[in-house]
Amino acid sequence: MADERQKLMHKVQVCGFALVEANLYLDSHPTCQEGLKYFREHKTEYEKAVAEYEEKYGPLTAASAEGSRKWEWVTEPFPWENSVNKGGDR
Amino acid sequence: MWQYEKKLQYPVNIKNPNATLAKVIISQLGGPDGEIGASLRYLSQRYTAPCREVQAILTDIGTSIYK
Repeated sequence: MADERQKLMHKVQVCGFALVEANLYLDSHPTCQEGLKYFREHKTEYEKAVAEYEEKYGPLTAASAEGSRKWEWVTEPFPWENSVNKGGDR
Repeated sequence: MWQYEKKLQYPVNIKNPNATLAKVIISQLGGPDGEIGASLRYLSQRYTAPCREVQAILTDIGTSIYK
C-alpha cells in the first residue's frame, strides 16, 4: 500500500519537475511554440497525477484540503516522513 | 506569494545520517554565504531588472531554492 503511494508521489514529482524546467525556459522564450506545447502536455500529466494522488492520499496543498470530516493537512504525513517521499532506490 | 506543496521536488532517501556533513549542508543553505541570502538578493533585484523576462527569471530562481 505504501509502495503504491510512493509510486504515485514519484509520478507527481517527475511531472512537476518537467513543469519547473519548462517554466524557467519559457521565462526567456515566452513565444516559443514548441516550449509552450511541452508545457501544456506536461501540465495535463501533472494535474492528472496530482488529482489522483490527492483523491487517494490527501491534499498536497492546504488550499486543496477537503476540510470536511477532519483536517487532512495535519493528519496525513509530511514529506520528511520517509513513508511518502522515499526515493533513491528507483 | 508562495504556497507550500507537501512533496519534495526530487525524491531523497538518506541511508546514512551524518551530523557533521549536515552542519556543512545547512550552512550552504542558510549560512552567511548561503542560498537563502542569494535567494533574497534575486527577489530584491527583480524589481529593477531591465525587462520582464529577467524579472520572471529572478522571481522563479529566487523561489527555486525553497523547492
